[in-house]
Amino acid sequence: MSVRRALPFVIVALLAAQIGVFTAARGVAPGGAEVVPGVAPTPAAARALAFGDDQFLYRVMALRLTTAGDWDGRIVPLRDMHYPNIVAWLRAIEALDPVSDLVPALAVHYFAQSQDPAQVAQVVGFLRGHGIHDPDRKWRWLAHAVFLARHRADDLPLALDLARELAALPAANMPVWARQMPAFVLDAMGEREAADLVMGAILATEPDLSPAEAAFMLRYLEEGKQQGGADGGLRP
Amino acid sequence: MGIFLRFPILGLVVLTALRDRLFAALGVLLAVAMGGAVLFGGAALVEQGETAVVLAAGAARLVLAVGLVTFVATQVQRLYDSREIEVLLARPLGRPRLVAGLAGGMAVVAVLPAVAVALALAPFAPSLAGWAAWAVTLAAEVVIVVLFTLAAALVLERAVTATLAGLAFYAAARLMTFILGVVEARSRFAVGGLGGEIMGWVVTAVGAIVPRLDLFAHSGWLVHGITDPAPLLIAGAQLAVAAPLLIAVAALDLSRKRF
Repeated sequence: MSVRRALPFVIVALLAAQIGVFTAARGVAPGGAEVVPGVAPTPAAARALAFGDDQFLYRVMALRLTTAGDWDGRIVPLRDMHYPNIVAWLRAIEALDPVSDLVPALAVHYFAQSQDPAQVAQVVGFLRGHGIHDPDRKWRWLAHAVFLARHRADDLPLALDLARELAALPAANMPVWARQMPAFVLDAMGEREAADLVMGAILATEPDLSPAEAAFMLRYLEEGKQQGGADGGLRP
Repeated sequence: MGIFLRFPILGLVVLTALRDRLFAALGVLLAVAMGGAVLFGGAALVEQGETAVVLAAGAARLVLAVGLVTFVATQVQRLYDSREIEVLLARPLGRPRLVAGLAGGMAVVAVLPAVAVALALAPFAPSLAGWAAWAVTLAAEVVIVVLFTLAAALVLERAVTATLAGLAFYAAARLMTFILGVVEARSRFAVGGLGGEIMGWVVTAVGAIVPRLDLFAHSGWLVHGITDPAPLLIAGAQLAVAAPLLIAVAALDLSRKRF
């Protein structure tokens, strides 16, 4: 048989072999076993990878982190992810665009949804750093950190520290409820008297309180007095 | 069409691009790349619009650079292989004018799809000033890339080597911030002493010659606007210097060739 006549059979045989390779490879996931690469890029390495367009790399890496564990034929629960790696990557990506809210949103609305308080606490640590570097724009992420520390990480002392940092931020457009956060956390810690002191100080010093806000704070203080610091009353 | 009659070499290049279906191929590739970017942008938790615009802009820039480098390199090889260049040289115009005509044609071929990409992104860019800056610097960037590839192709005469040279140039020019950062942090060199010094001089020399394309077409401008005008000014100066320099190098090489 000439080579020319044999060629169709060779092609069919090779196509069959290709289907065999495809079948054998179906269960094989690309990449290594790690959900997120173990070493986040340094700022210099990230700059090299960006090829002069930091914003493009920021968005690509943020999407890559969004789909971590779920994009190569696996579904990895958050509890099985290595959070120190994830926080390192969040910080590396954040450095490429400190203005955008994509990475903190990813931290709050995805990675902080873990049911493991220790993992949530690590995300809170990231948000703490993110929230304080540009108070006017980023204060809300520190407010998220307070919520997460209190309700998800079950770490009231940490929540109180964060709430005090939040209340002290020099953010002109921050609403009064953010400055009330220490009072709410103190209340949750059973320190109603201290909470009333914080609330009273805000009421006395905040210049532009709306009537509704002032009425809420007055009622809060009144109820505190009536209950003598007992549990209950107005709280978020 | 009047401009093509007045500048026939320029018209020839544009006609060749049309004949080779460059614009159609780029259009399909750009549509796929930008469509994919919109799809992936929708996967973002927040800022889906911004993410889609940035991914589309970055993908389009890469498609344009690779597509145009390939086109220029293959066209110049065709000029040599078909001896078309000898026909062109037989015309009553000097070799520098021939190179200028080819460069003008390649620049027009590069700018047209860049403008189309910019117009496609315009409705979705949150910052109009940032979009304008991105669009102008994208056009300038692709012009510099095609002019380098033209010079490389005229010197090297082979499409494969010219394509690789063009892509290597693009990567190096886009890495200039990193390269210059390495020079500034010379103490981090693995090789110390005289070796480190020499490596530093080499890197500095490369940095001095290669255009700063890392200052062009920042997709961050599309979403945050222009926070610092310095890169824009340097990009303008860079185009004003690099474009005539590359044309002059190509003209010098062609003027020394014998046919």
